[in-house]
Amino acid sequence: MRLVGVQFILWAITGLYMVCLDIHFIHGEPLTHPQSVTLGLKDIGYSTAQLLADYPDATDIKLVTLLQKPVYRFTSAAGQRAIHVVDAVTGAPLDLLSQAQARQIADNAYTGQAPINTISPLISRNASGALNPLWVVSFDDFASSTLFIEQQSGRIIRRRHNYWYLFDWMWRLHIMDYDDGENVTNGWLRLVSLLSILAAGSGLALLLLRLTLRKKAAF
Amino acid sequence: MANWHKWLALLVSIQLLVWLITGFYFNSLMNSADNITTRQPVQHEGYLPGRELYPLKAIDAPPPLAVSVIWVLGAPYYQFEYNQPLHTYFPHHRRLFDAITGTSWQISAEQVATIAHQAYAGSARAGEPVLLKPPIDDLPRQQNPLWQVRFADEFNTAVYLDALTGHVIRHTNDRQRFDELMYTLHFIDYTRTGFFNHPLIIIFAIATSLLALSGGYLLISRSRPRVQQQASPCTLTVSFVSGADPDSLPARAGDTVFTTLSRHGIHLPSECGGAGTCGKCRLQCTPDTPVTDIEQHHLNQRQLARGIRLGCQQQVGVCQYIKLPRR
Repeated sequence: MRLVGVQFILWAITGLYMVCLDIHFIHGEPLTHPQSVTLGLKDIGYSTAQLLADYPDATDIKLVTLLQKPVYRFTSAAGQRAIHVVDAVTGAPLDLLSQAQARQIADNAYTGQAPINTISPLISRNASGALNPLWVVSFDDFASSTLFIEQQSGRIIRRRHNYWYLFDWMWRLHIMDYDDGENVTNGWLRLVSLLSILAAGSGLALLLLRLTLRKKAAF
Repeated sequence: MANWHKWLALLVSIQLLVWLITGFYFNSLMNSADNITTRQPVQHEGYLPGRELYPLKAIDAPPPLAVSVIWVLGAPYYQFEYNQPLHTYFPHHRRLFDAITGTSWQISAEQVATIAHQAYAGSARAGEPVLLKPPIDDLPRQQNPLWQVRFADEFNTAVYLDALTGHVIRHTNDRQRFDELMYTLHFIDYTRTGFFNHPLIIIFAIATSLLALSGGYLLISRSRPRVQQQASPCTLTVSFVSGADPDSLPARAGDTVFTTLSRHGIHLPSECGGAGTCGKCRLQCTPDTPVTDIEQHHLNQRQLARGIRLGCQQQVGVCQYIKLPRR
């Protein structure tokens, strides 16, 4: 029991943290405003038909507002990038996001009041393993809120703050996977959870014994 | 502290076992990837170049936040989005238009049946598509209406599809439902919120944390030796109801009778190891021996009057003569 006791305390405390903090808050969802600018479809000078003539392999086409302008965002094998952004009024392709543009996007989206602390480039990998350049914009607030903006698309793809990093560590301690927190099926957790079931089961047996034998205690 | 620790433990212990067993299930027994073997992808995309797409600016609709070009069964559609939910299960306000004709459109039950059939690799017969409003039993988080198509196979497979587009949202079956049940138990989510941030689990988590911390505290405080008083030697005289020869045991004043006896190989019945919670280490002293609160709790007036006390509560020196049933 003493062997697994420490892990019992860790399970209880980390579990308490994870259930008390709303998961959407942890994911940083309240850090940014939802998009609210509507598209003026009458201004669209570059039609979807023209877009397909210029980029025949375009998929996942989406017309959105980026930096107060309507743009098409789509994936295509053309050129050096995976995600393309094209001005929906003129049809001109847009370059990768500049640092100044990233600042503007972050400032517009951020729901807090704090000023931007740093904006730094980061080469990340997306889910399929392709290189994905980002701007990392961190704010000078209590929780060190940070937005990760894709340079190719201008999308905010990740929202982080200190509560998230703490949550991540709570999760690692909870599942006893201390390197990256991705393996729920690790053998260490298996061993300790089995021992714990034995300890808790024997505790339950003792309790039942005690409740049934209590009346027989005579002396 | 020992007392409320005990009652809180009783309250939380059942859930503790449920947490341990379901946690072990997630760790060692669950294999979600193999749950549904009849799932297969549906090819919706067609070839766009060369088709005359209806101009967006001519479509009669309130201005959207975004427009996506989507495919359903080889035909292109415009999806006008009036909000941009961060999760697919959040309410999504949309309108669909045929991207060739520009007319308002949404999926028909026949098309839903076709897509569900394509998404299912098994040989069982499909039921009629049913349009469900949330809450949906199989998908507690989902806040949008969905089409459901059930298949009469041994695992009761169901395919859920988007109410407007007919895109497959999820497959589920009885194996998957069993895994979901384990999550429901682990998260005490009997109201089926689909999340772990509801009040009931927070109450249990607070209780469990208090329990674990107080338990740890009790463990440490009990394993540490009691305050070392002047260990002046004295004797404890033990006689036996069974008629065995009385004994004089050397002892240190301030030690409990319980520890003194066990040091000399006489082990009183006990579950708590001398902590005063079980009330089992009974013995007989002289009737004038002082009574502690814990003894008041465990013993009745008649027993106290006869001099029955608890070995863990009496200190050698205060209590010099005791009587035990047998050696």
